[in-house]
Amino acid sequence: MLRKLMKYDMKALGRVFIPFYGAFIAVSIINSILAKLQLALPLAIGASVYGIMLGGVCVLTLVLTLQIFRKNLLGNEGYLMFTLPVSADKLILSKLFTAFVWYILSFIALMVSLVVISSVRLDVREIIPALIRLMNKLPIGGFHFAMFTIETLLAGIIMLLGMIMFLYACISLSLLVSKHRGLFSFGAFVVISMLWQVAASQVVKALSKLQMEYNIYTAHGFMWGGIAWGLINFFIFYFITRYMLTRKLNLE
Amino acid sequence: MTWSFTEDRPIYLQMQEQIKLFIVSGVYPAGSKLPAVRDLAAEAGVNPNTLQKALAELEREGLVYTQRTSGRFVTEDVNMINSLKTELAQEQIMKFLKKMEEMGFEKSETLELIKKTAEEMK
Amino acid sequence: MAILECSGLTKKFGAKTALDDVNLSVETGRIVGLLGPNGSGKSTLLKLCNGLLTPSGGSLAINGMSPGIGTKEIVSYLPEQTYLNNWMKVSDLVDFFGDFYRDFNRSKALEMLKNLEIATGDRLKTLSKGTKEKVQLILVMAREAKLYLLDEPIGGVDPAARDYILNTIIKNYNPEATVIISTHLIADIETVLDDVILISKGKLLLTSSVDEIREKNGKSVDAFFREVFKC
Repeated sequence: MLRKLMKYDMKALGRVFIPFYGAFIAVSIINSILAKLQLALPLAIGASVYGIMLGGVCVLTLVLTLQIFRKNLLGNEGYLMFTLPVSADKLILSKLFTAFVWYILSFIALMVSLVVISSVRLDVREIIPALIRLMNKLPIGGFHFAMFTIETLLAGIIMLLGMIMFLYACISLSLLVSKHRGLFSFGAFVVISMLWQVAASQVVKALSKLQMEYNIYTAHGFMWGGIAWGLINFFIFYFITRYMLTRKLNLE
Repeated sequence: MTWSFTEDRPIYLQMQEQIKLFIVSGVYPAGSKLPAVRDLAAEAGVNPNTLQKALAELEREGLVYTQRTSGRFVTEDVNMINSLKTELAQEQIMKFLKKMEEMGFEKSETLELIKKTAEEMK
Repeated sequence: MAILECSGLTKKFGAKTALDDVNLSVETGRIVGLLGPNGSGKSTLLKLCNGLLTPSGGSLAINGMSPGIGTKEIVSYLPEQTYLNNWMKVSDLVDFFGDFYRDFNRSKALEMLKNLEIATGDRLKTLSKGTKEKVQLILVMAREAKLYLLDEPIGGVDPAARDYILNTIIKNYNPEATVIISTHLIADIETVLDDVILISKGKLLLTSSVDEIREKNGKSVDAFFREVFKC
């Protein structure tokens, strides 16, 4: 069921993203050609168009993933989604994973466009050997480097999932009111962000009080601590969203 | 074939009358097979359960009968149908005569009026 | 077994009570009209049956189950508004229903669409409001569900479409299923109904068969309703 839900969610977002990515990459290609031909005026125009689209990719990804969540689950389409024989968990996870995929794809589209623009001869086959050379230069062993890479990757994934879940929670909390739901979501966003800042600074204060040796192992400790912190965040926001969508659901 | 129902009487009774009318007028001839309840109900725009109830009543009266595997049929008893036809006609006539009486006509006056109007209708 | 049973069912929205201590029981194989003025609690009752709302008090059971995934598999719901994804094509929606509902009869849906000359390649947003509503109805009726909940299926539809909708409901009739039609346009559907449930201001006023009301009161349900709810 989750896969079926994701199929439709991916399609819904894909129809907007794919053409946009296509146009974005096309603009990048045009710009790099213009640069080679050294045509000043067209290049200036091209560069500003590129700049706008660059911002556009970021804004689009954020706005669209939030929009589809709100419209599909809390709007009229909610009458369809919530009467399907699937659990609220699957509905939430489908939106979450779909959003996650498109965030990654947007990032890749950005990277590709940068590569195209800078016209750097980037031979993919050289990346791995280059990384290995870098690893050998560092004062730490290969094992630790690999561990740090994994930890950073995990932390990044958890942070992204957590952020998406946080935004979904803000949107879901708007079910508590019947009017001005958009404003309420934004308010929730502001309030929770502030609370989060306070909580985070408390944690940092507490940690700095601990007399600790700073070595490679505590560094790993910090990484895993961060991952745990990310997981706790994620679950808090997941449960808020889930609670709102199951017990407080009220479609107009 | 349009069915019409008045508001004030139960629908199953009106359905019975309507079907009887169709039988005596030959829309459903003697011995013919009646459409399936669901199709008849859809055509008439009525509830299938209510139609079933009406048909059950007609079955009790002997106007229709069910053959287990083939469906529902109008009786082959032409005499029964004819006497029903006469009965229904007499019901209408009595209603009419009563109405004419209310208007102040004598029975002989009414009969004359009927003859005259029937001639003019040709 | 009753397909729907409500026991002391209550729903409050803050200070407002939408449904107040409703007790009712609906059998299988019936076509039932849920009648009442606007704001009487009809939509709330239907949403509770769907699991779109949770009761504030009391309980309800569909085929013996509390509203959840199990009931959603056997309940086919047509809401009042347009609730389908606008960007999808009609054929996408047919696939969608087929994907999620085991009881969806694909060939029946395609046949009904063909009868109404609706092109499956059209995107929903290009269709007129009336056509969108027909598509929604077709998708809902193409499911072989045990309980159909139709919220105002004939309001705002032209007479020809209305006939088609009622015709579809009758043709679809099977003794294993129940159809509950919530409407305020009683006159148009009275002959199609077995029973009626009258609701007002969140309270159950009466449940009865259509013929019983006519026999007892010498008038149609529509006329009776007007009398009961005279302003």
